[in-house]
Amino acid sequence: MTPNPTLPDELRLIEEFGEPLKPTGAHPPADLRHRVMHAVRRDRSRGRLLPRTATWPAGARLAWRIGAPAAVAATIAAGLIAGNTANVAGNAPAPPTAEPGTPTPTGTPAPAGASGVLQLAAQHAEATPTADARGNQFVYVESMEVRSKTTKDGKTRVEGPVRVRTWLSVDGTRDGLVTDDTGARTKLSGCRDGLRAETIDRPDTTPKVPCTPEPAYQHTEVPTDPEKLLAYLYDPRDTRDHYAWILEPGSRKGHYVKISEHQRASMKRGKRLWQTHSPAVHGAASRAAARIPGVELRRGVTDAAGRAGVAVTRTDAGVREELVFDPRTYAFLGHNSIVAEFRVTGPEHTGQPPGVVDSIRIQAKGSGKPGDVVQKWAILRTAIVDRAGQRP
Amino acid sequence: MNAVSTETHADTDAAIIQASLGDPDRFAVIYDRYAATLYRYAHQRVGAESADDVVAEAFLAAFRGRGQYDLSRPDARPWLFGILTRKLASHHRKEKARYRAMARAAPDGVLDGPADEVATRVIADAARRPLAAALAGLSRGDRDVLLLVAWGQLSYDEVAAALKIPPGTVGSRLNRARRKVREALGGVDPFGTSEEER
Repeated sequence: MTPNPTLPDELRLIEEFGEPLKPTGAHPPADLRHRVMHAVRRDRSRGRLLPRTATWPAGARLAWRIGAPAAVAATIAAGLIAGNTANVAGNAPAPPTAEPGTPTPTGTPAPAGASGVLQLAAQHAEATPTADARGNQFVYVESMEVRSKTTKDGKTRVEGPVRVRTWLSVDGTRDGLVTDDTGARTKLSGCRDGLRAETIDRPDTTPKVPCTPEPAYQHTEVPTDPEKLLAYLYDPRDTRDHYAWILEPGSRKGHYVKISEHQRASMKRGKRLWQTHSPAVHGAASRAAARIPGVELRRGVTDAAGRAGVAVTRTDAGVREELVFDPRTYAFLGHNSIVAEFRVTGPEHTGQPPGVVDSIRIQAKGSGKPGDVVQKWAILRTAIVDRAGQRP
Repeated sequence: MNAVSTETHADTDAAIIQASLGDPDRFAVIYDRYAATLYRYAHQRVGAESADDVVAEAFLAAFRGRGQYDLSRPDARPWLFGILTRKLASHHRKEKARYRAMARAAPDGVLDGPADEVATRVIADAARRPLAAALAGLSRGDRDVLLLVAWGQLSYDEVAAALKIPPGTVGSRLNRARRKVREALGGVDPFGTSEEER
């Protein structure tokens, strides 16, 4: 900013003195708005401010900028999502083929590596009947979430599990809804006439931006053929570099770290498949997932609801994304983001990087040790209902 | 510099605040209009660690106090800055310690940016430490007025409205603060030739 020529010299000096004290971005942290409006809405009952969120799943803080729905923001860095989301709470049907041995919840002679698990998950999804759903209905998703948060004094603690209920528009044009145990309520702007609100949580006061409807149960854009799905995930039209912004513990300097194309494909799948719950798409996703380099198998994993599972993981830019499956049925249980060993090497950017910022991750003081939970979510139940807010 | 950057319709702040009495969600418009401005100011005064807490507290206090808002004032900026100033008061000691630390700190070694901007900053850099010391030494009331004008970009009348003090008091506090800043600069001539030009 150029100094204000009308101010007397002392004031001008003070103004200049204040320049480097300004925040680097033009906007306050995105979660600040949520804190304030959450407190405002609850004011009559309690009126307490939410604790400041310092450790978010990648992307959540950017949600308002990139216009992703809340449910997606929570999963935007989700790695590979596969398997079917119906019936996972209990009596899920066994996979139709490929008996993997005699699995027990912990330490089993599981199928050969990650690709074996993904194959079984695909078969499980493909064996799941598709529900009848009309375009004007909603997919109800009941889930549990665990999040790490930072309190006022800078200490990090893991919060939850919190029960979250999400309503996603079957054809993608209706307004969805996210609610949770703490009373939070976020409207998801549907894509009507090619337009929706730019931000997730202020649909009434932000400009509309162009969009393509994201059907939660019909698949128009997302291919169900694994080959085509893979091509769709590695979108060749997007030639820009993508970055994650990482603030390491004990450091005041953020780093922009380039995200690999494989991780980007994984992230895109996570985003699309949280929004698309049809078994066919989930089956194709598992088959496509096996073709992305860098996936690994991990046993003895626990989901947000405390269920033991076997995970297919991918690690990139300091976070291990875990897709958790039931070790017996290979039903998809949920997704974990866990801090992984990471060192910033190479050039550090302090300004806007020459590309797209996909995710933002702030490791708070006292957190960020490998193994710490960034976020977990687990699906308990899905169903088709008539209205957003209606329980099955 | 204008506080309103994302306005999408013509409603005045007063109209929005009145509507928010019946529909609390309408208060989001006030947030969207002023959050960036208030956050920037708070960030300058208390740093990133406390800025979002202070701003969140200020908005919640504003929401609770919206019934007392003077609806004859279409612009809510001075009102919000007044609330923010009261919330900043509880960080008074921390803020002062921060300026003291800046007064002791070595000047930045490397400066980035367009050449003319760097030149301006190199000049101002000579004065950074004494300026920080001066801010640390001001009384709370004087500092509030000085920074509302220099950083918050409020007019004298707006400062008077924000702090609920007479305009004459704004003037006298500002003069006192400016005098102390000038004294703190002592031998430093931050503008090089500016003395000769006078």
